[in-house]
Amino acid sequence: MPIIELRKITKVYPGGIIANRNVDFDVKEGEIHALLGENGAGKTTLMKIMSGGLKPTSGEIYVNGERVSFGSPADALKYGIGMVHQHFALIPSMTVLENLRLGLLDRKLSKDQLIVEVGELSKRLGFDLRLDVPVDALSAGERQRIEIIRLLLRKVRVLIFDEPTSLLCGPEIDRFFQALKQLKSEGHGIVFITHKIREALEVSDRITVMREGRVIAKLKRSEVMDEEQLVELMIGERIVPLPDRPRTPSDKPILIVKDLVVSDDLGVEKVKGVSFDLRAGEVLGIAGVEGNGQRELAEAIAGLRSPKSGEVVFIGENSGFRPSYVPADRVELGVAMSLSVMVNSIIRSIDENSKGRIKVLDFAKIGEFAQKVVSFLGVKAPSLGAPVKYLSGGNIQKLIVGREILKSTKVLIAEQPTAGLDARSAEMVRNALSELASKGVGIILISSDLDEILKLSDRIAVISGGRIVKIFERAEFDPKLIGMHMLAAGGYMA
Amino acid sequence: MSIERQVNLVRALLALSSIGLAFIFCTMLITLSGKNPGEALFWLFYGGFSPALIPETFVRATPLLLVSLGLSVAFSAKIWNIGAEGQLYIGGIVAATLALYISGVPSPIALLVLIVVSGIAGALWALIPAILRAIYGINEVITTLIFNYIAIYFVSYLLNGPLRDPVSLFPETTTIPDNMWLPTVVPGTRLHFGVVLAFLIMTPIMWFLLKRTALGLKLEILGSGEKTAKYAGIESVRMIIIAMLVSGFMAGMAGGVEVLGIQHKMRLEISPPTSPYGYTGIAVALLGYLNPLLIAATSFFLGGIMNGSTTMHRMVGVPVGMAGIIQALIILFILLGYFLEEKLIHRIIGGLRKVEH
Amino acid sequence: MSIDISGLIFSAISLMTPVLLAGIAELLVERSGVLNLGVEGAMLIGAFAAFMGAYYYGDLGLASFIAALSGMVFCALFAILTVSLALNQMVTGLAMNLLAIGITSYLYRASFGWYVSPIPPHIKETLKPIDLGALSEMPVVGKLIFGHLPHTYFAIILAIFGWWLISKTGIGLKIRAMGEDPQVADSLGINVNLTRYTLLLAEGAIAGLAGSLLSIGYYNMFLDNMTQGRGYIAIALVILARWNPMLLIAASFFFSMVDALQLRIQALGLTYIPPQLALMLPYLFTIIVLLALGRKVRGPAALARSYKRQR
Repeated sequence: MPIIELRKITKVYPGGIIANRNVDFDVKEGEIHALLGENGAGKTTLMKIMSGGLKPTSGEIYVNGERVSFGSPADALKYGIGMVHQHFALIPSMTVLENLRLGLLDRKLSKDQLIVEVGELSKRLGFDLRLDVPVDALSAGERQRIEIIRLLLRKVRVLIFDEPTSLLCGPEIDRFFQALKQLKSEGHGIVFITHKIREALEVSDRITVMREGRVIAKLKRSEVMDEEQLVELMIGERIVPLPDRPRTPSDKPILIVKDLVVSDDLGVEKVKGVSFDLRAGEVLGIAGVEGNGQRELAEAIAGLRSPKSGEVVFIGENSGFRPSYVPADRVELGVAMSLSVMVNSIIRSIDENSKGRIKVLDFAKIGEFAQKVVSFLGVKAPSLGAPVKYLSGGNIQKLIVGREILKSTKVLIAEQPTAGLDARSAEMVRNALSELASKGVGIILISSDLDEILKLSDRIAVISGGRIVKIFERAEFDPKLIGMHMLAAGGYMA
Repeated sequence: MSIERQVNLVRALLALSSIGLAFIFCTMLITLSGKNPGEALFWLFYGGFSPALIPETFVRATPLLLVSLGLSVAFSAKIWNIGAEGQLYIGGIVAATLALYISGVPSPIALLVLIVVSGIAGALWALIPAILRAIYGINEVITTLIFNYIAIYFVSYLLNGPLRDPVSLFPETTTIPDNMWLPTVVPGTRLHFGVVLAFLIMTPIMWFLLKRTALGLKLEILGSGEKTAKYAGIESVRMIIIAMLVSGFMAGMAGGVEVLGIQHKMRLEISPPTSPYGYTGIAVALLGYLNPLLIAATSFFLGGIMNGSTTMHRMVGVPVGMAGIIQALIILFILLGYFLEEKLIHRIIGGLRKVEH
Repeated sequence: MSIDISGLIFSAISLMTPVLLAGIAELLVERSGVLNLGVEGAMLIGAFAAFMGAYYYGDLGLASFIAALSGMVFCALFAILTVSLALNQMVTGLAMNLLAIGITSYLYRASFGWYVSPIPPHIKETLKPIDLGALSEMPVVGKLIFGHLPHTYFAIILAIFGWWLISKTGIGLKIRAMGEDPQVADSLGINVNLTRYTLLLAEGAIAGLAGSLLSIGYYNMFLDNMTQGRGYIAIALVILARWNPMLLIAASFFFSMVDALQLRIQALGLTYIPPQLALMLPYLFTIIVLLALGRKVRGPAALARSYKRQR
């Protein structure tokens, strides 16, 4: 009997997006169960439901054969189900021991008892936790271990990991897998969500593949013949679409990125030495599953994040040049919520829209541009003067995308430009990007939607683990091959 | 109705409710102390807004307006300059002292110079808190508050000591010569040029600065979020310092104008103790939703309340401190209003979907 | 010119009491992520309430209790506005202080007449230090340590308790966590709102008590705005002490030394150091130290940020 079983789980988000359709899933004692799929396949949603973070729209959950319902993650923990999220719930300025004490909740342990228990757990798992060090001095791998210990202190039986190796490198990944095997041998059930095929094959006993909210396949490890099989299952039938318009990007580069190394806010290196160039009039698609360094790469090129080392050179522009940038983080970064639609259409080009030494805002010009932006993608706003915070999320996105496309500097970085948009708007955006390219603008398209990348790009650079693992010319486009690089399969770099 | 209209309507209603609630509370207080609230409120409004006394209300509103104009710039960037009081004092003492030295210079030029210099003095007084905030991230509320105390004590020292009028019984400077007084604009009243400066010159200028220039927009974007400001390419450090200096300048100017136009010397009581301009200005700015044009109106209103409470005190015996209570309550209710505003508007607009934060 | 050092130290220890009381209470509140400017208003309310209590009931103990209670009610209002409604903490605190000034002045005049007579109303007896008899005769230490008001000892004990609470207990851990990241704290099952409410109410009571020292301890009357920014000084001292209770004791002491010095200067009537400049010294001292510490000042990461529970 499985420890936990999900039957016919469906989850529909307000707004109509169906994240899970009639999914069956279960976890047994003493097994490692990999949940494979691309972005948007529904894996994280499913696991959030299983760990009490979300309520399913329909379907049932059974623990040890009993029907249960989780009101919150705390409920699930009581049943022994715990999840380690991608963003650790740790307080960086406090020590490891303090963070562990914080997470104890209802278990009453004295400090000494805690130290003893943590010591035992660490030994069994082969961890080397230094308890008195502040968390901000630790690597991502070490932080992850804290989260694991935390769950074990709560006596969980099922541990769920969401993309656990995305923040780890080389030897840390091996150590993580060792820990998993140890946990398995102690009878725990482990689920790990991943998009990296090679890893799934390395440790798991069972593999479930999801795509577009459904379970596509449930396999035992022994039933998997080779990685290609899994890639096909994950990506499905993909053909390379014909290019939408003849495009002849020039040979001259307008942007050169050399040996770029960028860290995130926590000091973890996310971009580990990336080099490429971008030519005028070309769309360079950066294919990869979210979390492999795309965000930091985009921010570094856009000038919002200083790289640790390496250079970003815009040919023919002076040092203050800022490319157009559609950020993935729309609400916090891309717009000033309390200000009007009109004003938001020029927040990145305030100086160009002002006249004279006092820099008087040219409202006629701004209004005209705002109108263009709004009409361009059909932003539904009550009026140009309406504060942006009263717009729906999708419309805010259309505003941002429209603004950056229409502003057209020589280089545009578009990060997940169609995420969250309805099909028609997404199509409009893609057409706009194509047209922009044919006008000679160089576009870096960062997207986890493989179809989109295949359709629009002149070249595709696959990013995985913070590195560009391969660049494909259009003639070489092969979805399966690209998929294998993206998904770290077949011995390709992880 | 367009959404801006709806937003403005909701805001107006919330503002009026805030004022109304503040008054209701005060009515209760007045009744509790055994006075007749009806009579008290009558005198309050009479003292502030009866036709004969309107010029005086403008006079009272002038330093309030100048201070609040400066605050509207700082607050738009969410820079909480609470030091307007100290900056005002510094502006005042500089104006009073300098006026005694440059009495030879022809009037209009001298007066203009004095006004500008008092502004600069105020700005300089805001400089250290500005730097502490911009570069070290130290909370500007605390630093500006402390600078208020330093200013008041320092000015008090000067007025009791080196700058004291040798023939006066009180700690104050020598009265400045006639030609250094701001000219009266309407004979028979105390309406001096400073009133014109505040209402007809500085208000449009500050409105223009905040709402029509790149600088104003950048400040507003900074106020809406540091991350967004970075995305927009705005240098926070520069903007923070500018915001503080501008508001310091305006507060200093307020001090200078009071000295040159009304007091004709520098005294400690230049700012009414029960309702100091530097703090009342905060209520004025918030009530005016940080919009200079609205602030002109709210400064007039609160100036009238200030004068009215003196009348109320004289005629009915209600303590002058009532004005202070009214302002504090207005600020609190306005804050509640900011909180309610979004909820109300989301309700009113049935059709548009809420943005998920 | 001779300055009696031990006398100075004694004064400093006395003077530091209200600032230390308010300071340690504010320190704990700030560690939990809330910036309560209203501590100044709470002190003023306490000063007023204590005076009224002493004047009308003659019982100093009762008066002190009333002071603490009033301070608590005052901070409860602040808590509702900033914790439950998540309004802007700085402006709310400021407005509450203005309200405190207005209401205390008003009620004072309402009670004693609109025109305060030449001699303001005052109480006969003020708080007396604890008499420990022979102990105060001890050679050097005796005169310094003994002979203070009970509040002084309470303040120091409270500060040490605060240090122990914050650094050695589980509750202190939770307080620190919510001051750094209330979202994470919430997700770990810590009740952020309840903790902040509790700390704010406690602060109100303590600040009220601190204020009472002014009106029924050092003086025997109430004056408009008699706290004169001591609450703000307490907040500044918390910054100087880098939110560490033991350092706060030191910071309060040094600040009060400067304060005691300026009082001496005034009392001695030294003509070449003007009284107002002397008054200015403590505040100037605070700013200079802030400038000197500069970049090293980093408080709880979530300080003063409005927080609403995300569900």
